[in-house]
Amino acid sequence: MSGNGLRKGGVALTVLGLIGLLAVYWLAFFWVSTEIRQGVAQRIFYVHVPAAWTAFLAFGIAALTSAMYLWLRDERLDRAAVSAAEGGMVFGTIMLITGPLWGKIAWGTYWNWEPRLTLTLLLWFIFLGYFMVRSATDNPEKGKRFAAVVAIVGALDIPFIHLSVVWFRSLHPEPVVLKPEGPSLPGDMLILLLASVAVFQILFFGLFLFRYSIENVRGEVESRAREATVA
Amino acid sequence: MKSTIQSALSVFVLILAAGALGALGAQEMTNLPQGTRIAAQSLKPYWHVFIAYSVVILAVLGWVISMSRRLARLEAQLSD
Repeated sequence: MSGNGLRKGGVALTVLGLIGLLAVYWLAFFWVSTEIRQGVAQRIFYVHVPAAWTAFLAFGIAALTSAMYLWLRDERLDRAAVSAAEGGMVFGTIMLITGPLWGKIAWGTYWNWEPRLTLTLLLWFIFLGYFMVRSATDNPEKGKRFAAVVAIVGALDIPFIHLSVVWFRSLHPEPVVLKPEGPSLPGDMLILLLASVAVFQILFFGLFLFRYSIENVRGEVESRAREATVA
Repeated sequence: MKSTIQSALSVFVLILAAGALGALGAQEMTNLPQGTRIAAQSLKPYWHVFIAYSVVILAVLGWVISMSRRLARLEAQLSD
């Protein structure tokens, strides 16, 4: 697909995602039932959990494409990795802001150094390091290779984040959807959660395509600059 | 400049819409049965929900604006 095609596809998916987001907001306020113990604060669940899953997916894609970049040295894989990592940072930031807002109502505190929160913050900082490492070396190729290793190491944290609530004492509840015996959420809550996850993923892939097309333009600018230097 | 103003206006309209939805939701809570109403005694949760939902919109639009600026800068370099 051409650069313009990618960009147009990205914009179309993003617009679709934003419309879907408004629909999710409407359903969250007017359709889904209110959780009896936490009340309205539980509605943060419908943005916090999808943001978390989207961030993990994005960081996973960044790690996978980074590993493939180290193997194949294809620039397109590095462009995909940096685009996914940036998306992971955006959705990770949403997760890290909405979580404490919910935690203050549900647990009485914005933050607690319990395993899942600590590991999630660590993941965010590892990927912040990914961007710092990329720009820290004089040789861009070396920066890309170092950053690829950081992305792979960072993604190793994701399974630990998921399993931390099973292995350790945690304020977070044990999984209510991703568990062997199936989801234990009431039907309407599960439907809205899955709809919200789908909308967040559409938004992510739309913005990912848009970001990837920018990396293509950057590549073109850099190659022209190199040609000009040689000439 | 024009696109920045348009983006800022869009963000403002979306935040207003989210606020209106929040207010309507709060009104609806008063019609709930006695047991369910216990969790809604304080208005604080509404603020937290409102801020959380606004953060999503602001983060996504912020990323869109940031990418648009970078693209415009790169395209300007490309055309030089």
